[in-house]
Amino acid sequence: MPREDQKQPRVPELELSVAVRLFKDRYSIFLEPVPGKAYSVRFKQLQRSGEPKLGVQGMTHNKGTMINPRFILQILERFDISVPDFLEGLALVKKGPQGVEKK
Amino acid sequence: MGGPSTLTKITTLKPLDPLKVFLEFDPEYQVYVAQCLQTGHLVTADDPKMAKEMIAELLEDEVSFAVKANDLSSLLSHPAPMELFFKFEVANQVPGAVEDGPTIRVSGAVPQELRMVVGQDYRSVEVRTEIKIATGRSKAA
Repeated sequence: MPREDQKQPRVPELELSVAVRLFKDRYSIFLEPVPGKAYSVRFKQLQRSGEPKLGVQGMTHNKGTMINPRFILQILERFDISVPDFLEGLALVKKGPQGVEKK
Repeated sequence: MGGPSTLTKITTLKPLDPLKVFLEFDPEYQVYVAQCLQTGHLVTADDPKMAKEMIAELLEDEVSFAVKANDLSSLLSHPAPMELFFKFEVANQVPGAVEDGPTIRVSGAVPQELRMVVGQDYRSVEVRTEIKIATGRSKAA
């Protein structure tokens, strides 16, 4: 019997480079460095309408190399991306272009 | 009766003053999360002190950025979950549970259409906004 409090799949902590590639390739969301803030990043999505979008700014950790799951969840929410879709994309990125699991 | 003098105190930045932040330990991801109620921006850190400093820095950047871009609507379009508003209000009932955090400077060039409302006829403007931080669950010892 399914539990009522069943949670959605957990988003992992990711290397910033992996997150950047996934957001860019799958959702056309681009990373923009924040001037003068080495560990801050801004994610912006290209708009079909040409309307400017603020995007969302947050902070990385581990000297700018990692991105926390809570920040990833905020980005997903901001750009109306479902967690399962994101995780599906992540699985594809990890498999690589030939569908072979990277080591 | 309120006259025009009352109106001058109402600025476009009023919904952001004070900025309310709720800070608590997230047991699932084992990290402290500080999230602004109005804007939804959040930071994560290993300790609460660091989280408070980081959220102040982030909010200063983001609010200034939105003022410069004349896009406060976007800034306020993704607030924190309603649950956090309730948690903040609950904490607000307890004396001393909500601390007056740092005051951030919101600066930037104010667009023409905002200048009247902000009440300052300057190309660049600096406004001080207070951050109130309520702390919820801490990391279990």
